[in-house]
Amino acid sequence: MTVSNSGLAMPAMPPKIDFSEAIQDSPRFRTAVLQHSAYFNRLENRLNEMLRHITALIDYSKNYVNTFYKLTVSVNQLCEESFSDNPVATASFQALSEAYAHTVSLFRTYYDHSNVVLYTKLSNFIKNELAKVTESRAHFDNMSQSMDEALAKNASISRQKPVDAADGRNALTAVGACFAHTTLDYVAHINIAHAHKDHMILDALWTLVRESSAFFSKGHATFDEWTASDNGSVADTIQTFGAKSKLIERKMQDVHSLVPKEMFQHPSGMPIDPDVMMEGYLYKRSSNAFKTWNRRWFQIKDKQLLYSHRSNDSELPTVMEENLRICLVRPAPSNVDRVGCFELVTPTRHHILQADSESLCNDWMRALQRTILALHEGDTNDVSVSPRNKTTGSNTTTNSTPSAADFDITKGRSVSDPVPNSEFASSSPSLTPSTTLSSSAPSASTLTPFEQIRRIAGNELCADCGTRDPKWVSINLGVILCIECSGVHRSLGVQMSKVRSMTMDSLDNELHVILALGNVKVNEIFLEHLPATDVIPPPAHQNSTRPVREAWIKAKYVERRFAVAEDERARSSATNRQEHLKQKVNVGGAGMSMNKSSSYADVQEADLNSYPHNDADPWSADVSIPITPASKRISACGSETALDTLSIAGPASSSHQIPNEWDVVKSACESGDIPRLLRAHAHGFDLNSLHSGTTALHIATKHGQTAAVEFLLQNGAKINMLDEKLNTAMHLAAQEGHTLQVCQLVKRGADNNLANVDSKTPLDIAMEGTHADIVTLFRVTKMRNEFNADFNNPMDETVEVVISDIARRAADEKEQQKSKLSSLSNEHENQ
Amino acid sequence: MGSRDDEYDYLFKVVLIGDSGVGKSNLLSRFTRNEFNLESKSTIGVEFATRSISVEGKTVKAQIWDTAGQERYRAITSAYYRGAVGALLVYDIAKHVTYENVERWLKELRDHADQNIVIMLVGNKSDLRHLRAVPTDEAKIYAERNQLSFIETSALDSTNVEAAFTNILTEIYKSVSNKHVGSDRQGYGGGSGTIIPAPPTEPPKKQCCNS
Repeated sequence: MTVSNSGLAMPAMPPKIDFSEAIQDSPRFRTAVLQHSAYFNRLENRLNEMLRHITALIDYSKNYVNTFYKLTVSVNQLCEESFSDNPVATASFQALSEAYAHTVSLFRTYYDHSNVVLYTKLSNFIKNELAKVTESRAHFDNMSQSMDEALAKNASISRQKPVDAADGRNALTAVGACFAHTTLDYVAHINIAHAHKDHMILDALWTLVRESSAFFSKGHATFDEWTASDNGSVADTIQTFGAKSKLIERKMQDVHSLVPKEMFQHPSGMPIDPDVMMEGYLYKRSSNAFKTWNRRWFQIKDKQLLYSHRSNDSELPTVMEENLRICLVRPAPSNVDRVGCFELVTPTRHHILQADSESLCNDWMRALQRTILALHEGDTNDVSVSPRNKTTGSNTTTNSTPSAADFDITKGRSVSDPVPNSEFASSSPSLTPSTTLSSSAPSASTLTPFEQIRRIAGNELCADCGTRDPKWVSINLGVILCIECSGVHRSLGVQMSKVRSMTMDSLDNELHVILALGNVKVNEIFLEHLPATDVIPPPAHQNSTRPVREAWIKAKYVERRFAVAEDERARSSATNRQEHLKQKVNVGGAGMSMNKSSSYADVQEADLNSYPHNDADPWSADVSIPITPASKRISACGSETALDTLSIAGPASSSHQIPNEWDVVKSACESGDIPRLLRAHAHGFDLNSLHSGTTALHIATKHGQTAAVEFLLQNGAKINMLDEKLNTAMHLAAQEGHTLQVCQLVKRGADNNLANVDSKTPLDIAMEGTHADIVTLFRVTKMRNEFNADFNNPMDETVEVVISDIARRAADEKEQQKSKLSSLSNEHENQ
Repeated sequence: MGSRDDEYDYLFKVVLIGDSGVGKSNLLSRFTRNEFNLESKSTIGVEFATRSISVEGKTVKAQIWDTAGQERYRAITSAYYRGAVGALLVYDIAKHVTYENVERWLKELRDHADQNIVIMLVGNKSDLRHLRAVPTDEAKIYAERNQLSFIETSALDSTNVEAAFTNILTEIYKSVSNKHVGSDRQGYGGGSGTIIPAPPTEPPKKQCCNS
């Protein structure tokens, strides 16, 4: 501090040091030295201050460049996220982001070269030059001290000691010479530093200016180039978009004219989805005790009435009515104290809906009636026309019919009657026909079941007569039929062929079977041994009469004349007939010892009743009966001897089968190979037979093969069959946690109260495995059964909803797992 | 199977909700079978029980649904609340966190249940006096603010269990019978209709008297 203070009084530039003065070490010299050292101190302080500023600049510019870089990245992301669908904008974005990238890189080079170089140069000057001065000053100070000591010593030597005096003089001379050298060194360094400082500092400062100039001229060049190539297009783009936005602004000013004059009086606008006949908000009265009214978005789509919440975009619409064809629309009963209400009545329930106005209510009723009418007309005409077309066609009819509602009822009933109730409805009375299966149409594809079926090879023609555009399907045989042939199939009885309409009935798990088979595959099986010529009876064709069709279809599916080679057929039918006699005896015996306490017996009886014996029918379902009563007897007494009976019955039933047929069936059940199962079945394999202590149904269930389970059940496999451990298929489904199979079996009314060898019911097993979904399924069905009401059972709908909820979720999960597995294996392959 | 107590005037679905381990299943078993199990395990999936009680001369059959409080043991959500007219929201007075979660359960009810559902806040395990973590007054004030009924019960020593169910069923009965004046007499049962005006045993004509 003292130095700088004294320095203030000094001239800016201290005077040059005279060498002779230096050697003399005169006070003038000392003053000059002080001045110089103060000067350098000041210089160093100032330079250090500058270095601090430069350091800050470096930090800021680093920050600037980094942030700029981040901005560029954001620009790219912005373009990708929000403008990728606009190619014109994207091009401009790319040009601009390139310019940004250029700019940022220019900045970076500039900062790297200017500030950093400036810093280095200045700090080098301090380190090299000023440090030397300081260093030599330290030497000088040292020497000066030594000199003083030498002088003092010399001066104090006594006169009486001449030797000492001589020594002292010598020493003084030496030190003095050394001091003189050091002093001169010091002065030299001071002078050098003075000389260097001028050009070095200037040069350092000039660096910044040089780099700046280079930066700006480089930038100028870059942007000249950019402007020439890209500027025009970007400007044009901006202008175009600007013009467009003005146009849109103007349009948006007109938007208010869209608000209808009579809000809530008429449906506003046509639905976007061409399959939707009408859509809009309605209040729906909830079916619980509170009768709460909820506003929902309703759609009439195809033959369904759907609704969804306003808020939830991702939810799938709930199906209110699966098939409007069997519904009736009428004004709401007078006790509904609200305006604009109407009622939708189905055989099992009714819905009260409210529109926002009377006229809108009329619109809805009319739309629903038209749809219903169109669906009826579609029975006779072509159904594949989109509903909107149909309604315009039937418009006049509806309006001219005075009481459309009455008309709808009668027609609805009369047409729906001939459709046979699903065969399991008869075996489990608690399932009403309408409970059938609204759940898991494969969510992956957006195609309707009808379209999916039609896409399979051969399904565009009737499997039996070749008529175009068949609309009926046998769900157990997996063939697509024309209406004529479907009639013949019906006449064979449901144990032979279960016919459904592809357009009017809803298909659920049946769809899996149909999609796995199809006309080509099934005909390959049933017409495998079709003789090249002289086919008897003659194959049916498009114009065949009913008797011709009957003869052909009977020969094909009932006698399986062309499925099995001639000689083999003769043999097996003989054994079959023999077996058949034995079985009759067996059934009687077993029946006596049956323990009627369990509901299993009821099911058994139901089976017996629904499949009447028919000797003309060599592979009727009753072939399988001996096994089940036998195992039933085991479950009744549980003794070892009964097991012996079983093992005798086993080989007897398989004796007429090809030895390895069971292996084929077993592997087909494991892998879900439906065509192979059908082939085995067509060759006379007994689907209810017990092999190695288990049955086909058990294996298919255990492996979670939905289609195989469905196929077996549709083709007469008994749902409550027991294996050697007295497990039903349900036990295995619960064991393996196959929720979908549990749903499948529950829907078909399988008994879930039977105990196995370990006296465990399927529920016990599901509890042990903590399969919450399965436990829930069992519990709700049990609850429903406890209500014991055949009609209007309050649990029916709950059970239906629970099953379809769980089934949908399980199907989704399975789908996800599958796709995860396949993506995993893909990855594996790629590696 | 087939315990034919089918003679009822009303059938109400009531759901039990609340955190895992607060004693929902024991409340259910105490009310319907007068049983209590100190070592009961987590409920898996759903459980049901029914019991009929008499409310103002009518037979009200309560169908009570119980499910696991723990997410991983639950199967269905929307079907669980579907058609429910009452909910017992149970917490454990000795575990404050179960009380804190009441808010979450209320949200679930708002999301899935009918807006008119009758909710009763139930502080269970009132026998654990020395371990009490939720003061009665605090819960009572909370219940009032959220328009819930409130009661403290003990499934272990039976305190108030009967009262809890009777109160909520009475409240539901009142709410439903008030709403029902003059509407929907023909008794379709509305498909799932959780209220089934008695199968033809007697016409529900006296319902309007307490409106």
